Amino acid sequence: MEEQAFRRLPKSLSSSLVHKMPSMLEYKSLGFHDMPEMACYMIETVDEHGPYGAKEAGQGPLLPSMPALANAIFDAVGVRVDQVPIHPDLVLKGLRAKQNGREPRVGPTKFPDIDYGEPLIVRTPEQGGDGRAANDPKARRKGVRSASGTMKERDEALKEHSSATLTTD
Amino acid sequence: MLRLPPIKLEAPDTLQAAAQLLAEGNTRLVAGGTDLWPNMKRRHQKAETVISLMAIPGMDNIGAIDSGSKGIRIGATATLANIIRDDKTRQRFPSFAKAVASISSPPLRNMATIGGNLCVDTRCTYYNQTEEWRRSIDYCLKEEGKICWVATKSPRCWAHTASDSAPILCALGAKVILVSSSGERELPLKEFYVDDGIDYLAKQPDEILTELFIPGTSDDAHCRSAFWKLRRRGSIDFSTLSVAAAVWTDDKDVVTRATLYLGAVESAPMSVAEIDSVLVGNKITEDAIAEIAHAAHKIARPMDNTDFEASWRGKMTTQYVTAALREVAGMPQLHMPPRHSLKVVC
Repeated sequence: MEEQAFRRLPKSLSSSLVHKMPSMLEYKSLGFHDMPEMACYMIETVDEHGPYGAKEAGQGPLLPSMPALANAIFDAVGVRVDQVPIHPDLVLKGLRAKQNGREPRVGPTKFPDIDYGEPLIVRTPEQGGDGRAANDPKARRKGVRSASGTMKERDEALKEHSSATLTTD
Repeated sequence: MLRLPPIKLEAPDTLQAAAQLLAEGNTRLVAGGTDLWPNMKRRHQKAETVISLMAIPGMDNIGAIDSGSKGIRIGATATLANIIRDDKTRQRFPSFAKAVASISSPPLRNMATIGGNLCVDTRCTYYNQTEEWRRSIDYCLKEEGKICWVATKSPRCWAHTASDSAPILCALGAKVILVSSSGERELPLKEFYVDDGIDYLAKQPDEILTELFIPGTSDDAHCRSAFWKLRRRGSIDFSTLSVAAAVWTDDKDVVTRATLYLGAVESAPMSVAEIDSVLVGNKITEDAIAEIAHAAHKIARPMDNTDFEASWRGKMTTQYVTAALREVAGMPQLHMPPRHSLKVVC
């Protein structure tokens, strides 16, 4: 269980501090120089939902480390950074805002528009369905996600895709 | 997994044979291969024949220029790890050893060579990606494409110089020897680089970088230099800004000569000429350091072509030039992250 905690924290801290999109092949994880010292404390509990009271161990350090890091920065310098990875230039931007009397908060102000893709529609027997999909989501999405094609082609495919309407009656 | 394209690998055991093979065309040189192999796997660089220099005996020697001088000569295929281990280099040019020790990680330093680091390809966010990634943006100016994605209206490529040894060697006044099948020439290192992301070296395609000279002057005891670099992590990452300063003083601490170079800002190491007019004939003071740092910040205009926000990298120029010059002057450091005070670990 200690190993789980040791294994999960670098990954989580990397996403909080250094991992920068877009390329997954080029992504960064923390090196020896950058890892903080770490201590594990075992708290024995009985989880009533787990089999024989068992509880998972790996997720523990994974989820709270990003908010903990953001809170630590807020505690230290009073700047709220609402995005990861938290880069030094974001903190500096927050400090400048604070200096100029604005709200020391950096990050996106709204949820981005995301293309969630076409839903797969399967009608129930009561609706007259036979277990097969009533639509073909893949045909509609042709060109949008494919690795081939240029940025321009994909843009056009995406435009066409979002202007089309669902055929669900 | 990325794979190499089919190539023919030659490993001649004399320099003349290598120079002759290179002159045949559609060829490339490889030494440690830590830059070329990944680049070929991503299809940045193409060649039918790759010529390895590692079989040429004596090309990795590190030694004194001559017995009376304090300068050193380093063969182009000397590995970075061997340069750090070399006592003469560490004692005579500690900031050069520090710069070399800061490059990448120990396994890569065991393979990578100083010649390769001096010739390392310029880097850019829109270039150092896989073939599929680059195809999806219709490539860029550095390779097949028509647009520089860093500055879309720019007629030139803005990829930045990635060598960490280049700025400090330029500051120390190093020279390189270039050998081709038709002859040999010597070039000051600062003239070896051209401020263009695509043709970033003054080296002709048929020339081989064989040796590096770091001159040791008679006032060597009074030469102090410093190297600082900015990157996201304490190892592995390429620098997003590097600062190299060298200052020569006389017995009374009056500066006789001073050089300052910035790396990873332009496509070639960038000289800050103001250091000469501000420092020469004077002692190093806090005011003088502030003036030089301001001048460096004014001319350094990093583009958005690597890690970190470009404007922030520009602002950090002031901090890092100040840190380097304070180290040269022997003043205590202001608040800087401890991991940036690079230690030479052999």
